[in-house]
Order: sequence, then C-alpha cells, then structure tokens
Amino acid sequence: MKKRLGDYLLALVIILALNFILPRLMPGEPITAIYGDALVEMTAEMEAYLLERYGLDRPLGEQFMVYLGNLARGDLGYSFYFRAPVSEVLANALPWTLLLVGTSLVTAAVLGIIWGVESGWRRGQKFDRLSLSAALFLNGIPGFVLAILLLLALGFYGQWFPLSGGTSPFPGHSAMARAVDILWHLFLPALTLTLAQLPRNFLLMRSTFLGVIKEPYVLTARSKGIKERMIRYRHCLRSALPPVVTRLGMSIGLLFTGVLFVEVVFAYPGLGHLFYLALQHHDYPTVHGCLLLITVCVLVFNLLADLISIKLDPRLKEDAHQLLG
Amino acid sequence: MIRRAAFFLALFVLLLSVLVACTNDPSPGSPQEDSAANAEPYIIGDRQGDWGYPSPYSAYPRGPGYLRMYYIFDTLIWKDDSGFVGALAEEYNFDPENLSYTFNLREDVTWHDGTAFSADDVIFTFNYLREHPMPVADISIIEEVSKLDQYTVKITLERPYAAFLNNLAGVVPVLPEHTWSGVEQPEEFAGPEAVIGTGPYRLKNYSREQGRYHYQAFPDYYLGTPLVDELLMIKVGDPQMALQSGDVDFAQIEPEAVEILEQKGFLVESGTHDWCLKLMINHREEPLSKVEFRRSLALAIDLDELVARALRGHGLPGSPGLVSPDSRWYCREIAPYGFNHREAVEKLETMGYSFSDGILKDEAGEQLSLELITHADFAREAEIVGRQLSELGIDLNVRSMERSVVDSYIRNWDFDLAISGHGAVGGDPETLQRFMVGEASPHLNARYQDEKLIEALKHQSRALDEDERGKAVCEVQRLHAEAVPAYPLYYPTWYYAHNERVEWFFTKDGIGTGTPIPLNKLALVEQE
Repeated sequence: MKKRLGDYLLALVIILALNFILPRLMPGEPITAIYGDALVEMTAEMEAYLLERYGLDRPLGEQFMVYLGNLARGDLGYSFYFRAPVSEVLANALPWTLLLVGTSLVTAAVLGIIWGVESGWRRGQKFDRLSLSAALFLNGIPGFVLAILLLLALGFYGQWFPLSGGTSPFPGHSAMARAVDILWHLFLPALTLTLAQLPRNFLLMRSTFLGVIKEPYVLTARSKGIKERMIRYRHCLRSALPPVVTRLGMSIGLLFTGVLFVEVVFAYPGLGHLFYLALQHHDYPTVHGCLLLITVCVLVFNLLADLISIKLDPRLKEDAHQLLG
Repeated sequence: MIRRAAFFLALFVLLLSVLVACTNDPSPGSPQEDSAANAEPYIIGDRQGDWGYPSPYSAYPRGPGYLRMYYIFDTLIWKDDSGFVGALAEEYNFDPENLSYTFNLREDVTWHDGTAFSADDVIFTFNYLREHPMPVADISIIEEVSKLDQYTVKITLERPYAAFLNNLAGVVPVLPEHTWSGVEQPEEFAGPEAVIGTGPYRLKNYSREQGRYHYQAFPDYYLGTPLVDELLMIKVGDPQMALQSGDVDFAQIEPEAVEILEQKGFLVESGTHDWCLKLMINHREEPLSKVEFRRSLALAIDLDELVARALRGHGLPGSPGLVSPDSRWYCREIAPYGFNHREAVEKLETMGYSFSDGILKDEAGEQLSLELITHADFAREAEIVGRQLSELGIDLNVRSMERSVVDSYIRNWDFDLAISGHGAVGGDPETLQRFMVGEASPHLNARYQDEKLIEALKHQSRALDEDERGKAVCEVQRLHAEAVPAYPLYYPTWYYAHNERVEWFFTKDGIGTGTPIPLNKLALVEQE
C-alpha cells in the first residue's frame, strides 16, 4: 500500500510540473487573450504594467519557482481573467460541480449496475433485447442534443423545471427552501449527465455480468436453492463489479471538465465552464488551479476505486502484493 | 440492495445540496417586501453572466463589464440618446485658450455609505489613475487636475483633444477617496467597500459562478429615484426561452427569434452597427504590400453574399473607410468597392499576373498562394471569403485556429490574411486611431504607418469644431478606403428584446467609450 501511495505522490509531482508547462506551450499569450477586442487603450506602457503585475515579465524558471513556493504555502495565485484569488474562484465553483457530477455519477452507477444485472440475468429475453437497443440508442445521442431535448421538453414546454441557473434569484429564506430550490435546478442537468453515462455503465455491467453467471459457483448456489435475487446481487454482482468501479474511477477526470456542455446549455455553475474560460484567456494561474484540482480528484477517486475493488475482490489484494513483490 | 442504494443516493444528494446551500449562496430569500409597484424586480438575462466584480478595476475590460460597474459608479458627465448630459458635474465649460475644462460639481451628491461627495474625490481619482492605470481610460493627455473650490475642478489638457468628453470625462468612474486612498492593489480590492459609488444602484449581491448581479436602488440618487427597486442581471442558457418563460424582462436575442418574440408582444430593437468584422492584410509582405493588389482582393469579395450567407441578412456590408454606415461620422462620399470579378482580374493583369483556366500566375509562372487564418467563430465567413478569393485564381488555404493564436499570428505579422473583429467603430472617431495606425492593440490594428493617414487622424483628434472634425474623419476614411490596409467585411445587427417595463434607449455614440447596448442607467432614473 505504501508503494502505491508513493506512486500516487510521484504522479502528483510530475503532473505539477506538466501543469505549469503545458498551458504555456499553447500559442498565444494572456494579455492579448484577455484584452482581445476589449474597449481599452492598450498602450505599450499599459501592457508593460500588466505584464509586471501578473509576473509574466520574469524568466520562466523564476515563474515556476514562484509557483511552487506559493503552492507550498497553499496559495494558488491570482487569476488574470477572473481578477480574484484562484482558491476563491475554485472554491465557489467546486461545490456545484461536485453536486452535479456526484449526483449523476452515483445515479448513473446505481441505475447502470441494476439495469446491467437484470438485463444480463435475462439474456436473450425480450427485456434484454429491448434494454440493449435502448442503451445503444441512448449512447448514440450526443450529450448536448440530449440536454437541449430535455430542456425543451421538461423545461420550456412542460415548465416543470427551471431553464437555467443553479438557484432561483429569490430561492426563499429557510435552508430547506434553498436546498429544495437547488435540487429543483439540479434535476435537468443531472438527468442529462446521468442519461449520458448510463448506457456505458449498463453495457459494461451487462458484459461482465454475463461472464460471471457462467461460473460454476453460480450453478452451485442455484443447486443449493438460494434465492435468485440473492445469487444475482450477493454472489454474481460482487464478482462483476470491479471493472465497473475501475471505469467509474477513471471517468472522474473527464466528468469534471466534460460537463461543459451541460453547464452551457443549462447555464449551470461549475468548473467546466471556468476551466474553458481560463484556457481561452490563457489565465495560467486558474488553469494551474483547475488542473491541480482535477489531478487531485482523479488520484483520490482512483485510489478509492482501487480500495473498493480490493474490498470487493480480495484476490486483487494478493495480486497487488505479488506484483509489488 | 436496491433500497439501500436508493437510501445512500438520497442521502448523498441531500448532503451535497445542503453543503452548497449553506456555503455558496448569496441570493436573497425574496424580493423586497414592498407594496410599491416598482418593487417587482427587473431581470436582465445574459448568456455569459459573469463580467467581473463591478468595481472599476475588477470589471472585465469589455462593454458589458464596464456597464455593470457604471450602475454603481458615476462619471463627471454621461450620455443619453441625444448626447452629453450632466452627471456628477452639473455643468462644464471649455476654455480653448488654456485647453481647460471647468466642471461645476453637484453639491447634493452623497456616496452610497452616506459620505458627502466633493471635488477632492475627483482630484483623488485622476491622481490615482496616474499611479494605477485603468485600461478603459488613458489619461496621459491630461496635464493637470486642480481644485478651484469644494465643488469646482479644472482639468487642463496637454494638447487639443476632441474626444476628451467622450473618452475621459464620460468614462472615468469617480472613486471615493475615503475608501480608495489606502488601496495599493486596485485589481485585488474587492468586497463591499470596493463598490461604494454615487450611482443609482448599490450592489447587493454578486455571484461569479452563477453569473449573477443583484442591485438595490439608491434612494438618494441625485438625478432622481430609480424606477425599479431591485435590478438583477443573470446568466441564462437560452435568452429567447428565458424571455418567453417570463424568467427575464430583457435580453439580447438571436436574429432568428425576432419575429417570434415580436408576435409574443416583446419589443425588439436594434441599434447602430458598431462592431466590425474585417479582413486583416499583411501589407508588409509581397504581394499584399502593393495597394493595387489589395484593391483587387477587395473587388473580388462579394460582401452582399457574405452578409446574406454568414449573417442570414442580419447585418450591413463593410465600408472600406471602417466607420459603419449608420454612424454619424460615416463619410457618404466614399464609394464601396463593390463586387467586380472582371475588374479585379484586370487590375492583377496590369500588375504582371496572368489569369487563365481559373489560375492566377505571377510573372514566373507560379500560382499565387496565400493563407487565410481565422478562429472557429468565423470559420463560415472564412470559407466564403476563401472561396471568393479562390475564384480569382489564388491558391487559398483557410486555417481555423484558437482565437488567441490567431491574435498572436496577426500581432507578429506571421500571416497573409486573417479574419478578426472589434467594436467601437460607431463611437467617437478617436478610436479609429487604434484600429488603423500605431502599435496599440496590434491584433485588431491594421498598423498602416502612412504619414497622410497619421496626420489626418491627428487632425481629427485635435479638431475641436465638430464640422471641422467631421471633415477630418471623412479624410481618414477616404485614406483608409484607398489604401485598404484592412478590409471591413460586415457589421452584424444585434437585437434586444424586452417587455417594455422600462423604456430603454440607445445612447448617442454608445455607452462610455462606445458600448452599443441599450442598457443606459438613465433609462432607470425618473429624472426630476
């Protein structure tokens, strides 16, 4: 386990260096990107002032050392574009992303697993055939099209859910009223993201489940007269879960930034749009902050996925021991 | 198993919701509980939402960013639909001999925190700007700012500057000395103190992540009581839907939605065409350095087709003098190049090129090859222009890339042709300078260092008589049209829809330096 933690630490250090270098390799530079076609008198003096102000007039090596020094003190820097401390910018956006990504990830995982198990158990039957067709159809719809369809059907025409935003302008005074308002606004974006992930979870779960139900111990369990539901969810599911859990862990990074289309269609707050704007404007401190945050989240979730997989299948622990000598 | 999973799922969602609700929501619970008719909040929808904290140094350097700041901060003078009106200065006069403006300030103005406003704040502001340049206002033209008495200030200029009222007196937000005097890093100055102004509205809440601004009327506003007590600017995904659902009262809309929204009873308005898309030309490199060659390109581009196909007719074809045709500074004597393929070919042939079998060859017999760069937003325009220029026999390669990359290539003269755009072509003609000559904003600027053009621009800048200035601006446009250092392609029409609760108007020469949005704060003030 210590070796594994060491690997994660090494990965973090390498990623830190890459986080610093990669945004700077993009063609273009921040002053032009931020001020662009702005209504400003961008004189040479003003440009020199801004370069000095943002520390961009220093050599790259010095900028890197300053970045590492600040990071060691927990200071993520000051955003060129958002004109606020990066930690503040990220802290305000992160809860919304966690809420949206977390809700849809858990919902899509739970539903995908149950759907995959039930469909796999009934392999070749009408339910399985219909499920497979539905999943493939759903998988073929681009995420943003799905978002617009849901927005039109349930938001605009149905008027059951709000069209945009994370909260209403006036959500109510009590904490409960605010929580209900947040959930009401969350529904459509989370539904979109859930439906976008669901088919993949279903397909993976179904295929691994089909491999598991052929195992002799399933036949043994049946012959012992154990209830079918118990066999499905106690015996088979446990063996079929590790690949699904691994996939969920790996999808976290993509989900953090891949929710951009949901954030745009539903004008929902979050990290995706923030990261996009930071990249677009060469806002290096915010890009560093976003990448660092995503890196940490991916590492943590992958570690969690590893731990869950080991918990689910103790054989993996032995494999890991053998692998690490 | 299913029950347990559902339980954990519900618990997870609930916990996170409460987390967000508790830590991250500055929204008020409900509109002000007031029985007055104007207590109903007025909501303005916007696709981007966040334009920065509405403080002078924190607002994003774009029209909508400054506009949000100007609801809180006032300037010495302001503009309405017919021109300059008094703001913090009740009246002003100009002494041409000494090149000085004297501003008589209002005596009934208080800052939002109750402190009295005086000439000291104006003096402080201009001094502060010298130490801490503000991108929206270049005050280098000001020689001296002096206090004549508690409510009179005199601003002396280094040279005659016709745009002083539009670009400085009507743009510099006056800061309260008592809160800003100790601020060393104005860009990092945030919080309630950074938004104490004298404007008609106070900032009640701002949420960057939600792209939401909540303003509260300032009842002691010196120009009159604001018409609505609560003003919100919020981020919306689709402005058309938001209007029809009653979520917002005002929004900029897509041209395709004009008819539908008019049928639904919304008032749809469009203002002057102050944004220009233009073909940037690298006039430093052969063969684009030859003016006849550039004119041939202009003749080969069908601007009407471009407007019809790229804008679906919602725009005006470019004027070679850069100023848009509905600006009061537009020079009607300048004829457009017009689309004339035959004339374009003839011009090229007189330069030694030969055109046969649809291929344009130079004197060495090689086909002329050029590259046109653009960013994704204008890929369609680039394709149309590229096809039109290809019909001239040029081997034209269209490359689409990220916006800042295009800007960098233009800036470094590392391009042949590029598509780029900017606003402020309908505002004060002083802005023409930064799009034609010099080195400012190089990615938007033709940087055509022609002596006659530079002289004409200087002349218009110094001409204090409006008629004389009009002639000088006309000369600037004529020289630009003749030399074609860049070729204006079109001016898109922008539409705004609202439910007429507020009588918005378009500001003469645009808000501030030239923002052509009808959200002038004076429309919300019941002037006494």
